[in-house]
Amino acid sequence: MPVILEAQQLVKKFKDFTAVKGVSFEIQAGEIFSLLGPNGAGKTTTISMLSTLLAPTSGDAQIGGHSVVHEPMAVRQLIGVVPQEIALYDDLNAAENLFFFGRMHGMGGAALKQRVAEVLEQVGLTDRAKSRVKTFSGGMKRRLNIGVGLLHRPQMIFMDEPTVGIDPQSRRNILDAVKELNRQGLTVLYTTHYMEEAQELSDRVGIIDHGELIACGTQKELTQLVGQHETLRLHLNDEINADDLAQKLEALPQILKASAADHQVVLMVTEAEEALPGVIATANTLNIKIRSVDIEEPNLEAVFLHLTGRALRD
Amino acid sequence: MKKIFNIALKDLLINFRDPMGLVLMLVAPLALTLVIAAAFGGVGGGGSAGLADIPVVIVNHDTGDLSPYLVEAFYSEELAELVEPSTVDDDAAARAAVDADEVAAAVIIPDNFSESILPAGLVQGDLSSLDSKMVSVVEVYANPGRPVSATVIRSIVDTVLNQFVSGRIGSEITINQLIASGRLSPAEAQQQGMIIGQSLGAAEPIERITLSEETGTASSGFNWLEYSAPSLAILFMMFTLSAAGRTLLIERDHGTLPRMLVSPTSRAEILGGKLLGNFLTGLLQMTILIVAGGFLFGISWGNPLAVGLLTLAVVAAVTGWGMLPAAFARTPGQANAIGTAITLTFGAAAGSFVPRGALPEWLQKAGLVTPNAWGIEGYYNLIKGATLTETIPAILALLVMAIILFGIAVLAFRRQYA
Repeated sequence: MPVILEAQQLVKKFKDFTAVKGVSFEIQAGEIFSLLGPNGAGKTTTISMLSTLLAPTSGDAQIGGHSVVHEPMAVRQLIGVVPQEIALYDDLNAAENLFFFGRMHGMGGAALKQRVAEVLEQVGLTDRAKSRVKTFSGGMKRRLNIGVGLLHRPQMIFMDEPTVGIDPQSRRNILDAVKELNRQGLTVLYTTHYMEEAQELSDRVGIIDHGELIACGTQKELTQLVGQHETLRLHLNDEINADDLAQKLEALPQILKASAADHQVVLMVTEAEEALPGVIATANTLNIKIRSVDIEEPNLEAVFLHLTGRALRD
Repeated sequence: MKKIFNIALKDLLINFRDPMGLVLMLVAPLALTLVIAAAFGGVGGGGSAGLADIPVVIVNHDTGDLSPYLVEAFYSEELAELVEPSTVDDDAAARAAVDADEVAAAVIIPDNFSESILPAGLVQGDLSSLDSKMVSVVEVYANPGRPVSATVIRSIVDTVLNQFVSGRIGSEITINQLIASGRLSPAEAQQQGMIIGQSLGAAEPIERITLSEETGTASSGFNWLEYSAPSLAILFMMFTLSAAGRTLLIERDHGTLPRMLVSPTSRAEILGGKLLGNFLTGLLQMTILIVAGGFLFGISWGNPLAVGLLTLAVVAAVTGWGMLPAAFARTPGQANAIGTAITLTFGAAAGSFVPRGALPEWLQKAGLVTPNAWGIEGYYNLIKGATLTETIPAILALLVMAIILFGIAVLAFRRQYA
């Protein structure tokens, strides 16, 4: 597969703060590549530079052979962007939004009319084409937000956390739509802080933290970084502070790493069955009740924990 | 160019789809024009609405002792700056002066004015003469074109008459006359004065003096409707375009500006589209208000070509001012505050609320930095019959203003969105 995107040592500084610190990666045509990282890791800044919205402080990226720094107009012809926020006009209807952004991409006439009808069909909004966006549900807005990004038939689409703040059903629809678009040949750069989404969608994943790409590869390649370790996920009662338990458990010989987040304690262990009795005994000592325990095969959460010592949602 | 029009037409559509926006753009200026015209009268006073030196003509047919008090009230030091009285002998001349819009009102004092309050018998000490049913009518013949000034004159007459009503002036004169005629000693004056005063006060003097107000037929001169229609149209267009100017900041925050920026569209095209959209919004608003002013208020705006060119120039200049707050503000809230302050200050300084002629001279000059002042003068003069040639200075001044403001806005936006 040819390389469609190649980022080379991208750096972005905002006064004294460096948001992106020399990020380099490649994306092959036809793949779904996810940038996975917690909030504030530098995902949106990276995608903003790649989409020519922000000029890099240093470094460059080639998309379809065009430099984002020197040939931004050529790059914009090739890419579609689905921003994190709903970037639509509330007082225009769905079709008017699509016509407007289509014309901004140089489309027009019968071709645009046909393409608008196709996109409305694709995002399931044909029957609401004449309804103003302000009357739409959050999920419908998200779908139209994606539709605008697809309108001009880009070779590659950048999707910046498109499932943030929506209901599970809409989220499911969006993930299915991303897979379908990829099946149709579209290359996807997807950013998320949800490990499950990256796992489900991605051919390859770049893990980003504090502005640095700390690992990049297929899921198999990444989980090999963790070795044969397993992950124990302890679900605690809501009112319990998980930090104390994580600290105590990390001292146990069977526990390689421990991290607390969202009333959960995530443990990396060599052998789950061996580690469990000690974990339960420690919890009892601290008078902490464990509601349930999941034993997980090596996954991206474990990779992130392994690489950073923190859970993804810390 | 297609993309510039695409952005402009999108903004135009959004601006005219907002029901609250339409109220502010179209309903509010028309309604306010109507209210002002109703409050001050369609036709107003002699090129100035300032309440100073109100010309009033007085006709005094009364030869008694009381009417001089009424006449002298107009010549008093307290009212020296407020009114400019003159006296004539006959009613017709006084009414003609009002009808010719030379004075705000005529005050006509009837020949039985003093007698109706202070019957001759009373001076002889006969309190029963107060039972006389004689009635006098003081007439205020008001200029309908100067409703505020006429109201002031009426109030002055009312105040003096109220003093008669309370008996104060009547009793004072009666006592003086009784002393002078030797029927009353100075020692008895205080007690007798109280009795006469109480009698006069209790004698229902409202029935003795009545104030009648008639309206004259003046038709030329200042016209509030013709002044307010363009001045308020420009003021409300300024509100509209100040709000439209800050949509660039709103679009930045809502993500639609970044979305435009990642399309193959230059920053110059986006700014050009926003400017054109604002200009077209203002142009449509002004056109509707001008046409509505003609239909609803019967305003004849004058030379159509001159009105068209002046409208283009006014809208261009106001568009420039509307973009300025957004070019320098960091948030839509900041732009809103700055835009509102500019709009209201310009409105006050340029004569949107009171005629420019009523403003101090320095403010009239300072107001020329506003598009309102040039626009108001231009439209009002056209309504009064000015030609295209006479309007060209205003058009040129507005176009120069627009070019300078566009230049500043473009530089500021380039800095902000680099």
